[in-house]
Amino acid sequence: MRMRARLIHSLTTVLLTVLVGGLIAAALVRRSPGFGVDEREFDARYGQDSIRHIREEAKPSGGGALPDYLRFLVRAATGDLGTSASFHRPVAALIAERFPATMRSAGAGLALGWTAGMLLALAAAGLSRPAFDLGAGAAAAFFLCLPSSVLALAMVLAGRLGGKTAVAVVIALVIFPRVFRYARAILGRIAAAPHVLMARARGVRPWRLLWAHLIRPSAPAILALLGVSVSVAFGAAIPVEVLCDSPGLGQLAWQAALKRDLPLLVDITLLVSLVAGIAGMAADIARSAPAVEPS
Amino acid sequence: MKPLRRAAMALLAAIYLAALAAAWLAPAGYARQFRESPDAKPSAVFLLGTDELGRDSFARLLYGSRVSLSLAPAAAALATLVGAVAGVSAGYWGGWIDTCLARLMDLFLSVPWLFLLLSVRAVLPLNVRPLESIGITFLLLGLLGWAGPARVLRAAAHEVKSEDFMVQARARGSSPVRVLSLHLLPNLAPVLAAQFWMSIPLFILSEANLGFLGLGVAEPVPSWGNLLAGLQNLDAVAGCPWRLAPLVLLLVVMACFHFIVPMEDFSK
Repeated sequence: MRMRARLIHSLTTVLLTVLVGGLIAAALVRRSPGFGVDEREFDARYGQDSIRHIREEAKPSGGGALPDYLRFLVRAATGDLGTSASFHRPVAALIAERFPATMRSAGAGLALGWTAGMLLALAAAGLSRPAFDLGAGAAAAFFLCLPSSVLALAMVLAGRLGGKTAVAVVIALVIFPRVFRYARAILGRIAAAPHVLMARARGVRPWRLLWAHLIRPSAPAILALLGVSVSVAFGAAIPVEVLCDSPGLGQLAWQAALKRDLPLLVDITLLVSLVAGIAGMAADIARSAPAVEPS
Repeated sequence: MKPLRRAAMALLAAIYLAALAAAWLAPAGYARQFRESPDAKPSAVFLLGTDELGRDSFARLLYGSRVSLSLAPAAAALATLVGAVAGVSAGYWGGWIDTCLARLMDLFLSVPWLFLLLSVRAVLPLNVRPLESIGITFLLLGLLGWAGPARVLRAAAHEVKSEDFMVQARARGSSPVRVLSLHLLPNLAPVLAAQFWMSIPLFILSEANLGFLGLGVAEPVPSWGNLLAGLQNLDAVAGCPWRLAPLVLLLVVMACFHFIVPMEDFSK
């Protein structure tokens, strides 16, 4: 029951955050220079009547940001997110086309990055070999020092991987060092705890030591990173999809930004924030779920 | 101080000095075109060769470093300042101020960093003069990057607020301004400094990513972002390792920051 209340509270918080974010974005878009101006107004081929008609079409309603936003929400509830000014296609269709590609790449990248980061962190904490620790730490530091766009460019230069695979690999390289450093610090602290040293001294088998004394106690703290890593993965997807020419949401957001197709860009940003928010909420709930004790 | 940290600080100081002295060290201006020598190889005249427009790459690297290395700390200072005002207010006053500010922090932190930058950058005019683009880029970083430091400072202010000396100061009837300026802020100074130092490399990387996407500092003014964007011309890079100089310098500077302050902020 408490869990259900917590779930409802978290979900409401995420939704409210996204809704308020949307309202702020809508107000910003209305205030942006050039809002309500159609490029065709400057095209000499259009006559005065046509330009007047175009202006009428592009003119924002006089009610302000809030009524506009509420109208948008009502339309969005029926699946109508409007039409993209730069792509001349429904926004919902554009997003539906690109969203799965980004989700797949981000999912694969997250899985790869988390696996690599956790395996290396566990090995570093379990083996307690300074050389291994130093090597893994240096590799993580190296990838932390590089912008995701440079990693994507390296992938393009290497030229061995296809678009979507390259995106997943770059996202994994962005996630891995962060997971490794965070998990290594937590696992290191737990590995040095007196009860773990005692278990070692008593000759507890390595696998049992790893599972019962390292992984289980550290899991809640490490899980807290899951939500943030989803946000980082989506952020990294923009330059990577652009450079690797992978038609996903990141590339669409970049194209919308360059063409100043602000409604499309805001829709994408809100969707991505919602996904990141839900991932964060799931991580929070998983972290606070009571552990099942062996009987 | 560990020797590695000391060496990193010395190297970073040397790079900063070279960047700040670009006007004296660079053999030519960053925009001057030597039209008779486009795509020149490194030589005594052009230390790092020239680009396809005949501009001295060494001069552009120095001036670009000056832009990125001096404005990233400025943006970090702005983000830390805004974060300090929000975080300390939330942590100290509590109540509805804390609730509202905490929700605002959550709002900023819930949007993936690059999506947030891209969206707000696109709201502003894209065709601006190069100097305006510098201002816009680093102001954006400073004004949008406040939520991370604010969250940390809010937690720290909460902690310090419940210390005995703070309770005693309030019980003695000290004014809020006195409590804040004499007791709270001095105790938060190490956290503030850490947040400032941690923001610099993050903003350098963010500017590089924005520049790569064509939404950062506009040409002809060089910055690490648009210098790295030049690497996208694969034909020009192939067989010309000296063109990787901006990337190498970025790596060196980031490694120096890495040794000076651990980059633990996961959210960007």
